[in-house]
Formats: sequence, C-alpha cells, structure tokens
Amino acid sequence: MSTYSENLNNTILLCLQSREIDEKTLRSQLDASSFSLYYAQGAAISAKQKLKATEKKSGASAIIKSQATNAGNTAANLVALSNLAAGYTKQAITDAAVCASNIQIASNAIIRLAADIGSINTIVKVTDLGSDMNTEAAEIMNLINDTASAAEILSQLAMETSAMSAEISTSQLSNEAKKTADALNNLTKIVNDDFDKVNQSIISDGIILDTASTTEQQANGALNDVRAAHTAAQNSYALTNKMLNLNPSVFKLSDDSYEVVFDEMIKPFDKSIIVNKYYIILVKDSKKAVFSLSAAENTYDTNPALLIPAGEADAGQIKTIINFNDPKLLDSDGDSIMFGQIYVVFVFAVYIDAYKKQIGNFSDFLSAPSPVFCLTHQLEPVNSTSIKFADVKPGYVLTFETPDQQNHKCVYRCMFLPIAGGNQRIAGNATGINFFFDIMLAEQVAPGNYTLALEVKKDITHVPIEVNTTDVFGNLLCDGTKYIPVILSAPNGSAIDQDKYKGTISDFNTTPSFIYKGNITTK
Amino acid sequence: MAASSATSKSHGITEQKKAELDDLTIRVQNAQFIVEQCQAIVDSLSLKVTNLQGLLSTANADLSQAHNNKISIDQIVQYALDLKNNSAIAFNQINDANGKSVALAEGANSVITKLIYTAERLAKFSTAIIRKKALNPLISDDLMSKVSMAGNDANNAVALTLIALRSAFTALASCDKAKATISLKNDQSSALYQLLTAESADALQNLLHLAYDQAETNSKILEKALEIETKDLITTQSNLYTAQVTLQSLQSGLTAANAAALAS
Repeated sequence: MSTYSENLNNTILLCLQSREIDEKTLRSQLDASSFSLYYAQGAAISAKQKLKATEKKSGASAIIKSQATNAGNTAANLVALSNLAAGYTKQAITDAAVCASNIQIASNAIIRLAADIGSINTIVKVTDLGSDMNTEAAEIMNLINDTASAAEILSQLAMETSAMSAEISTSQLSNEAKKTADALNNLTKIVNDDFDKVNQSIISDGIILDTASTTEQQANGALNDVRAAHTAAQNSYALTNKMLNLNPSVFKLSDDSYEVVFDEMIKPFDKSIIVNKYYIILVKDSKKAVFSLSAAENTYDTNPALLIPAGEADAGQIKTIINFNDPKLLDSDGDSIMFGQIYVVFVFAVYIDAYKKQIGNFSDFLSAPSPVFCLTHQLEPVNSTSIKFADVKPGYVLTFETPDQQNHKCVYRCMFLPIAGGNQRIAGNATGINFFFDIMLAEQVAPGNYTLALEVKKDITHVPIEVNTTDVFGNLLCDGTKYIPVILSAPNGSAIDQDKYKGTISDFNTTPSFIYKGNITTK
Repeated sequence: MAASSATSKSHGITEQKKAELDDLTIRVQNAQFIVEQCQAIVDSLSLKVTNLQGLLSTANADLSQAHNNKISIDQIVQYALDLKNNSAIAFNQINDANGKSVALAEGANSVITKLIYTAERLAKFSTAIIRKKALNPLISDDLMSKVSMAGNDANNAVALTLIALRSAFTALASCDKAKATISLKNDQSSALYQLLTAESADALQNLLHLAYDQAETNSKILEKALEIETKDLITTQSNLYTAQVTLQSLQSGLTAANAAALAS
C-alpha cells in the first residue's frame, strides 16, 4: 500500500475509533441514565405507595379519633351529671330522713292525743253524761284511732322510704363515671397522638414523594439528553463507517446465521471495477487494533482458509451470508468461532492486476473494522398471554407455558411491575405501566426483587407467590394494588455461558394485570 | 501472526500441560463467577432482610400500641357496662323511693285531714263538756283536765303533723330532682355504652378491634416474610461459602499448577 493509501487508511481508522469511543462512552452514559431513571421512578413509586398507605391509615385514624372524642365528651357529661345526681340524691336522702323523723314525732303526738281521747271516752262512758255525749266520745275515739293507725302506718312508710333512699349509692356511680371518663380521656390522648403522628407522616411522605418526583423528572430529562447525544453518536459512527469505510455491517439472520454487507469499491473518476476478489475476515474484537493489512496479506498467502470469500457485487453492495455452524469456519487467529466471543469483520480486497499496475502499488486493500457483533443464542421468551395469576388459597401462584429452549439452560425470573397511577411523563402504553422498563433493566433487577421459578415443568411452570414477594422495586406486594407480571428468560450456567446467551422478557404490554389481595387471603 | 497450525507431536506434553492450565483457568473463572453471583444474591437478600426487619419493627410497635388500645377499650367498655348496669339499678331504686315518697306525701295529707277533722270534732265535744260542767258541777274535774289536755295535745299533734306534711313534700321534691338526674344519667350511660359497642362499624370498640386485627395481620405477614427471607439468606450464604471454598481450592490448584509448569 502506498503511503498515501496508508495515510488515508490510518485517518479512517482514527475517525472510526473516535466515533466508536464516543458511541461507547455515550452508551455507558445512556445505560447509567436508564438505571438512574429506573431507580428514581422506583423511589417515586415507592413513595407514592407509602403515602397512599399512610393516607389510608390516616382515614382510619381520623374515624377512631372522632369516635373517641365523641365518647370522651359523652363520658365527661356523664361525670358532671353523676355529680349533680349525687348531690340531689344526697339531699333527697337527708330530706327523707328528716321527713321520717318528723312523721315519727307527729305520729307520737297523735298517739298521745289518742290516749287522751281514750281516757275521755272511758270517763264519759263511766259517768254517763247522756247518750249523745257517750256516742260522740265513742265516735271521736274511733276517728282518732283510725287517724293514729294511719299515722303509725305512715311512720312505717316514712322509715321505709328513708331507708330505701339511703340505699342509693350515687357516690359509687360517680366514681364509675369518673373512671370511665378518665380511661376514655387517656385513650383519646393516645389516638389523638397517633392521628397527629400519621398526619405528620403524610406531610413527610409528601415531601419525600415531591423530592422523588423531582429527582425522577431530572433523571428523565438527563436520560432524554443522553439519548439524543447517543443517537447522534450512533449516526455519526454509521455515517463515518459509510462514507470512509466500505460500510461493513453485520446483520443477524438467526442464532448462527449472519449476513455481512459492505459497499463495492470502485475506481474514482470512471467508477470501473478495480477489485478482483473480496474476502471477509473474522477478527476478535480484542485483536482488531493489531490486525493490519500486512497481517491480512500474510494470511492470504499462507493460510487462505481463514479468509471467507465474499459474494458477488449487486447494485454497489456485496452481501454474504455466513453460517457459523460450519465447523471449518475460523477466525483470523485460526480459532474456531465461539458463541459469546465479540468479533468484528474486516473486508480484504484483492485489486485486479491492471489497477495495481496503473497506480504502481502492489498492495491490496483492508477495510477498517466493522461495528462489533457477538454470536449469542437468544433464549425463548415466555408467551405473555399464557401468564396467569391464580388465587389458590391460602396463597397465590403464577403459571405460564414453559417455552421450548431446545436444551439451552434457562431460568425464569418472575417480576411484578406495579401500576401505581400518577406519573404520566413516561410514554403511555395500554397497560398503565408508567415507568421505564426493558430487558437491560430486567437483567439488573436484584435477586431479592424477583421470584425464581424453582421448578420448571415441561408444559406449565408454577411459581408460588409468598408473603415475601416484592415488586421490581423491592416493595412487598401491596393489598389492592395492580401488577403486571413479567418473566425474564435468563441464561443459567457458567460465566462463559452468560455471554453466549441473550435473555428475553415476556411482552408486558400484552400481559393481563391482576389485583393483589394478599392481606385478605393470608388472614 | 500465523494461525497455529495443528498440534505438533513433539510438543505433546507441553500442550497437555497448557490444556490443563487452560482448563483450570476456566474453572477458576467459573468459580469466580459463581462467587460473584452468590455474593450479589446474598447482598440483595441481606438488604431485603434489613428492610423487612425495619418494617416488622414498625409493625410491631403499631401492634403493641393497637394491643394497648384494645385492652384499654375493652376495659372502658367494661366500665361503661358497669356504669350502665348500676345506673339502671340506681334508677330503679330512685324510682321505687320516689313512689314511696309520693305515697308518703299522700299519706301525710290523708293523716292531717283526718287529724284536723278529729281535732275539730274533739274541740266541739270539749266545748259541749265545758258547757255541761257549767250546768252540772258534778262532772268530774278529772274529765275536765283530760279534755283540756286533749285540746293541748290536739293542737300539738296538728302542728307537728303539719311540719311532717311539709317535710314529706320537701322530701318528695328533692326525690323528684334526684330521679330526674338519675334517669338522665341512666339514659346517657346506655347511650355511651351503645356508642362504644354498637354493631356498627363506627363503634369505637369495633374500630380499635379492627385496628388491632389489621396490625396483627400486618405483623404476621411481615414476620412470615422475614422468616422466609432469612431462611433464603441463610441458604444463599451457605452457597456463597461453598462457592468461596471451591474458588479458593481451585485458585490454590491453579497457582500450584502454574508453579509446576514454570519449574518444568
């Protein structure tokens, strides 16, 4: 390669490298922003749930407070009334006693009078003052006897009344009323304190929610900014790759079949064909910086089996399907192609001899590397419409049709996305999930916040939901809240296996939600 | 650059050693990965356990308060019931006493009417005797003194009975007042008891019992959650330990193998 061409090639490499670094930096920022947003949204949703629970508590507390106050007032009235009643009763007892005594005294006087009249009657009868007088005396005696006897009975009644009144124990009733009122008073103080505490919590929960909402808003803004920058970086990489490189691109057709597409090289000025044969070279991403034209030429001379002949040009593009199942396929190091390994492709072009002669340079051409790609097995997602949530007293169970993973080791992580209302900023979908969630986030959900399907059955897998089950943000499933289950098919196995597989999540947009009624069932 | 072309027989032993080393290295990497995975699970579950402990401690404080409130309200309901029952008893007593007081006032009235009538007849009879004595001095002085004494005693009896009559009505009046207040109190203690214990969901006893039940359920749920989570944590901790031991022994193996390979 002439120094001119080498210089150009170096410049192209540098351009692509800086674009790639840009893109990588921004991608990591984008990922970081996604996480920030996810956590901020989680914090906001948790705060909202907490506030809702506190508000519910406050409602109950308010009723208790009002009823306790009511009862306390009634009891306080009763104390006043009891004291009044005690006073009146005491007076009544005294008056009854006075009355009994007075009646006794009167009765005694009447009896004395009766005795007088009895004597008079006897004397009148004995001395015989005439039948008129005799009769009158006798009659008066009868009258006074009758009166005295009535007085005697009355005296008896007065004693009974007095005794009966004295039996009324109103002071005890006063004490009872006071005891009741005091106890109610104490209780009222406690429930009032509780009410105040709950209301204080509403205020502090509200502040937390406000802060969380602000943070969330900021995180959302930051994500949008970074997303725009990342998209720009992607575009400029693509543009650089297209304009300066041959735009080598790798498209996945299936797990082991990829299509490599690049632009045809043409002679400047007359656009004639200048390349005899194109080859594709698979190079490990880690080796791409040291893979050079001379290395390619050396391989071409000594080990042409490592070069993959490209397809025929068609309308300025060359498309080649590469089947990675082919055991003869090797990378630039002569190693077999590995799943989980990151590769790039280089395009190696052998110029036609006439062109070489024309420019007086007998080197061939090596493109700059393509964007990276990695061979992965995509795990099968769980069919979202097969996900069912069933109430199997005393607990719950989540079931889904087990996807056929064709002997690839896979675990199923069940996550619950809360539908907590509120936040409308995140793009709406029909499900009502209003936070940012995708496969990348699903793979990062902490083990405590998902439920692993411990027993994967052939047809239907059951996952029991227990009291310690949380939503994706780590809040215990909440009574009366709606959730949408999402299942992550994740690789299960060694460190190397992790890179070979690509996890998938079930489509939560088509998964029916359910309302969790845990507390009622576990009661 | 060179693609390593086939294995040469002469380097068989070195190749085999290298393969063993490579295999060990991969196993160390895998063990490392498992340790990291276990560590991540242990970290996450520890956090969850801590959170649950916090929630449970709050729930238990709530439960303890709810329990105290439940005990208080049950005690208060008992007090209110005693108050209600005893008020009813007092009401019956004052009612009976009031009935007697009415009878007493009526009786006193009846006695005074009879006494006054008798006294008037006696006065008239005395006048007649005194007139007869004027006509007939033979009428016994004893009788005359008795008549005179009876007159005095009649005056006295009437006066005392009038006092008794007045105090009977005074007693009746204060008994009426006591009855009125005790009756009101009786109604109000019933009302209080009703307020505390009615079948309605708003009754204080129901509210506090419900609050207790909810607090209890909440605490039980968290207790259960914590129990399950702690069990999981212990299992994963033991998995982590096993993985760490495996990693350590593999690492020692690899170090030894490397040393041996270099020595040879």
